Amino acid sequence: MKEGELIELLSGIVGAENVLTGEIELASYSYDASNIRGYPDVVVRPSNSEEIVEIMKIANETGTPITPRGSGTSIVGGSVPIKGGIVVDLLKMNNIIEIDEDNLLATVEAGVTVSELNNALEENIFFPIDPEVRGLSTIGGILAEDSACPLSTVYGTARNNALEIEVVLPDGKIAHLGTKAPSKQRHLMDFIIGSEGTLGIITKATVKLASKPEARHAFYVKMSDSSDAISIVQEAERRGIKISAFQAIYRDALKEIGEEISTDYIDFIGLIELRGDPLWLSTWVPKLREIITELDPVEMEELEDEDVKEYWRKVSVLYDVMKAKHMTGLSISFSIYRDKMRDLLQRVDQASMRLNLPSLTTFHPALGWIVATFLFVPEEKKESERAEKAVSFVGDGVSKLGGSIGFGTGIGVSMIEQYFKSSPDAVRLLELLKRALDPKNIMNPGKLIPLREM
Amino acid sequence: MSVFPESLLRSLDLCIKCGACNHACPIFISQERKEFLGPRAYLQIPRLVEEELEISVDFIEYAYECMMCGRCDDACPVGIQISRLILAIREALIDQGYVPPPKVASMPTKLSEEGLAFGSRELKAKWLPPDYQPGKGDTFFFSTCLSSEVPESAVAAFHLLKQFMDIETIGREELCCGAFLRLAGYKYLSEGALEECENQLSAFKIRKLVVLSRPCLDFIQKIGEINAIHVVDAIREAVEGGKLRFNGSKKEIRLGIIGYCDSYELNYSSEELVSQIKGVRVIDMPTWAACGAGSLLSFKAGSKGIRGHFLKILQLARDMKLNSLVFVDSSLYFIAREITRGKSKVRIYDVPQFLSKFL
Repeated sequence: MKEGELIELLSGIVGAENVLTGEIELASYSYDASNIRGYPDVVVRPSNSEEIVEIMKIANETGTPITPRGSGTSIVGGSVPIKGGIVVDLLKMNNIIEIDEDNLLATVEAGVTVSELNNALEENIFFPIDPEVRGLSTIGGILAEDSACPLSTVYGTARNNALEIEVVLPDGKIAHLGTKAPSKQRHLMDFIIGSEGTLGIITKATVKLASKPEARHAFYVKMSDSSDAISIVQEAERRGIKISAFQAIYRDALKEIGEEISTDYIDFIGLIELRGDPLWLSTWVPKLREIITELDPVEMEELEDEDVKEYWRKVSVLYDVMKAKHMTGLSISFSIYRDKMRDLLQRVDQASMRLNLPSLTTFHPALGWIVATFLFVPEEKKESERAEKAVSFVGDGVSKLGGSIGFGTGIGVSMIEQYFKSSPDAVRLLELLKRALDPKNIMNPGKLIPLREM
Repeated sequence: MSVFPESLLRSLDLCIKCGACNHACPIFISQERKEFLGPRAYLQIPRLVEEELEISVDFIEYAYECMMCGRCDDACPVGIQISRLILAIREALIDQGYVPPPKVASMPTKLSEEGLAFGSRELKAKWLPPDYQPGKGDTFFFSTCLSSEVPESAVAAFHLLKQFMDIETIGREELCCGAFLRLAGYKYLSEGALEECENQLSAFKIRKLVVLSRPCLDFIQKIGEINAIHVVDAIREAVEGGKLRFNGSKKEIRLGIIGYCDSYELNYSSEELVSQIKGVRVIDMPTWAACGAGSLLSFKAGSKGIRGHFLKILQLARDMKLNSLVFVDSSLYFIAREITRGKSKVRIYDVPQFLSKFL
């Protein structure tokens, strides 16, 4: 089919004003928060699931690739149309359909952002999965990528907070999966969540909300050995203390802001948060203080309630500022059982040293989650190749030690080879599933599943 | 050959593409969150133009979409001054000889022929009596280039000011201060204009200047010796000092105020004044229903985003069943007037025009 005909058909569905074809318009959908790039042939902005059904039918008939997109905050290229075709921009679909505060449930369209949802809720409840801690990501994007955030220690990843989803499948049929009550069908919904838009477009979801804690207390620490982070988590667990969130910025990152923080004796900066009933906290806080103090931190600061929020912001900004000092980076995100975390942090160091690239690493000791980013100048082709090697070197270590690549961010384009190498069985099954549901490979091609000839 | 200076490209490259700016941008929000109308695209697209695309008419028009409200600057986690960079993009285009949209491209000629950025001296004379001559005094009303296009604003403002102060105005011969040229990217021309304007003001021995419009006020404040103030703030001072009073309204007026994202004082003064009037009920507007110092310039440049933004604001006013919308600045009122052309069900005003009804 000629491009003109495709555009005409799409305009017939969503109206000409919601079909973008201008050069600048298309260029603005050629990137997300990763370093992956790719131009779409056309961008459509549907208003409801029915329009998506029609778009999907046309794409399927014509074999045109479809890339769903929310806020474009993926750090692995999840929303970049690397094979061209149609970008389905879901940001217009931002209706909050129902909020059931008694049962702590919300039903929303896929394009609702975390902060939009939170602003619509009563003061004391919230949606806990906020991957970039700014509320920018859309609920659809979070579910497609099965995102994690620091609070995933308590609330799990996006998957654990979804009860029902509506998805438009590649054949143009709508499927409603999951139920509010625990159900057998959950297994099917779990195929779609985390499939990164390769099996269909999530258009609606019913998600679980959480009550805000009555009290918050946090320790902001600078420590001289990353194994201390693991000791804190292990000791806290032994003594019955429930850590809500623990994010640490590793020393490789701190080096990058050397002028602001002396890194001589510091292996990581961490923010450890306890949240819950004031009565629990009154017994937990002194215990955790004791645990940390015994490990002899270089510095320790304690924060309460609103100040904790401020520090989360500060920690995330610190990370962003470091990133901004460089042109771009290639990230690898993975989870690993926590006793192996230190080995993998060292592997990041090794990769950075051997390939002579600076790295920025954050890790979540209570969750076993590490995100390492290797920084390079994009114009230097050799540097970007070295960054790929660095990611591959770390990835090999993750596979050997039994970790899971792509945890928290999705696989996207950036980690696709690593994923294939580390989980061949899972990829083979995904491939079979993909061939069954999407035989023409129209859905978000080039992400998650390294499809060979179909 | 490179279009944008290396220093500009390097500043743009600091962007980590997180998208925080987009969700802060009033136009991004009101225009159904189209990526290309958000600040993130402004930071990405010049690099693409430099490396993959070409400078097209589309791109040049695109460079004038932003209204410079500054909300993205506050939202950026890595501290990029995005609106300043957008201005630098316009400057680079003009430096390289690219032709901006027609009403912007005509500014330099207008300036050399008429001493104005837009409008004409002939029109500018029309809001004053034909035989008007400025008297002696050290306080003047600066009617700005806008007065030739929105005489009703200038008339209302000057009339109100006369109620409580001795005030003169230069009239037909008043020169452009260069503010709109600056926003358009004519850096050097705007500096020249400001100098000429300064000379004229000092020839009149002006000490205090009451300015009709905010973009001009921002620019004139660069002249150190002159104490410049916005007309709305001058009226507020008079009301607070008991020098000016307004009657009440017989009917209830449900009214919304459309202000600037970055000018709290002006927004505050407008609300204070308007809510003084008995019968007026000021209804809170959502935060996106606000503007920037560059709104008028972008509107003149033909920005679809600005037009769409104002249409959304007017639609919102209808949905909220407001009788009136009061814009805190005449330049904003002008855009609404041009778009509605008297056909709006919701009445539109700037602050002086609204207040004049209750003198």
